Amino acid sequence: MQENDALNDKPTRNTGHAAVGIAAPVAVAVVVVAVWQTFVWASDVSPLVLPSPLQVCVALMTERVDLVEAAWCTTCAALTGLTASTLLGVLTAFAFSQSRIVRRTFYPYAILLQTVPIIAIAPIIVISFGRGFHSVALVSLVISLFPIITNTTTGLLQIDAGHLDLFELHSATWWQTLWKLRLPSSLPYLISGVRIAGGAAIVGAIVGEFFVGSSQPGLGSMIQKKAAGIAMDELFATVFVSTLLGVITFGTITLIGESILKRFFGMSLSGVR
Amino acid sequence: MVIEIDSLSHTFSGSTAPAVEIARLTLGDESFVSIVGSSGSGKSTLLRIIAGLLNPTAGQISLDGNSPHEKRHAGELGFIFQSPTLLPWRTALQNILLPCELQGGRLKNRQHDVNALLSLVGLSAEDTRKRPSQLSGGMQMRVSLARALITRPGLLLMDEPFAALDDILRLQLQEEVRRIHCEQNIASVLVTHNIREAVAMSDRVLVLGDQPAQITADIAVELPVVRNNDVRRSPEFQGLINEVTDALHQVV
Repeated sequence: MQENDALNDKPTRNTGHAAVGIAAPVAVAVVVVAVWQTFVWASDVSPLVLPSPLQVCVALMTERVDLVEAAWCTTCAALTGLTASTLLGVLTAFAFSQSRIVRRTFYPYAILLQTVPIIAIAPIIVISFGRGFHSVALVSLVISLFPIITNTTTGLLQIDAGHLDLFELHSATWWQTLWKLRLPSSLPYLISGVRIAGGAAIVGAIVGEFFVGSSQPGLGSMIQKKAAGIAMDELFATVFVSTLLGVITFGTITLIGESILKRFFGMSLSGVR
Repeated sequence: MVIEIDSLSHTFSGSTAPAVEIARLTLGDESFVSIVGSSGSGKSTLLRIIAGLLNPTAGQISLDGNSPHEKRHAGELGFIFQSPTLLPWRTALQNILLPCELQGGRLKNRQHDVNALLSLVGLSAEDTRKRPSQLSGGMQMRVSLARALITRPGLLLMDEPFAALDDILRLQLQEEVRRIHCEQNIASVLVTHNIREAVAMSDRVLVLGDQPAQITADIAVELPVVRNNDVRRSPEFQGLINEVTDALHQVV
């Protein structure tokens, strides 16, 4: 009678995979930094062209207060844009899922969000809406909207045929099918979309700040300032923090998404297209 | 529940030939009927028509004089799909109670006592707190069975429910479904391509011919009510398997 669960039987293998997953990229980073440092020492290249990793580390320490403040500004703008794009993306996906005509009419415009370069859109937004936090958040929204629309639309449309039959068998209403089936079914796709959009939102905020300038003190405006001043070590430090911020955002969303999917769906993000 | 079919046919859109064509057929009245046929013969299509999930393009079908839609709207149909079709974000108990949530007031006290139902299908209270991903294939199928029975259906429809299970589990669930059918007096219709399964579980086996699906043989299974190992090893059981096999060979 009891042929119950045979799950969770591979913790050692999983732990080993996780260790390799962390150790391998760290090893690559160590090698790259070592080669870089050696190259700068050996070639005697000017610090105005290529600072050494040690010089960048020194810049990271001396500029740490400004960098943390700038990273916080960028994070706030990116999260505002990401929140707005998630809400707008889900509503748009819902509209797309309800009507093939709506989908066919407006989907090409959604693709435009992905294909038009953000570097071209950002100045238009800044000129149109003014220099400030809202413009940066808007650039972030524009760049992060498309993955949320496409993923959530896919999730809302790709419902298991058996589940649909089950709901029809029990005469479920449109609202019941939406609330109890379509929305929960699409959650893994939405999480996957937000994960992709998270990194894009950081890039969008930095690009937006780049065009807004000093009126919005974020990493983007800091990059612009350091590049203009040819402070290469500080510029590299700012780029490093920008990259780190993108990685942290991606990692945090992945962690939250994985725990939600594992808890409620018994699956991982790698199982979602 | 009695199923009456008269001049029924179904043609899928884009096709000229009907997938199913049944002249006249009466099923049910608390008996266990299996429909066997080769893959793609239209067995599942016929079952979906009986469940009201598919409308026939011609002809009539009635369940106790009502349309399938009326019966399923009243919660009088239970359906077990090929896969357990459990919602992964719900616990086993929440999955079992889903039909009651969806049909709400329409059930009019038809709901099965949950504890009695769990005992009937062999689930413990601890199992019901788990999510589908934490249950084995067999336990998932038991949850699916409990969900199909929660509304106390008069007709239980099964679309190859054991096809994905291993032999031991399949045998175990065949016996249990047969026992539940007898204890609960539910008319049952099983679609399967497994001849042994059809004979072991049924009071009557219908052989479906290929495209369009038509009833080509109607074989009464006159075996003891309890189909234990002794019955399964008996010459009568083997004789019935041979009879169904011959009928299927004639169709092919």
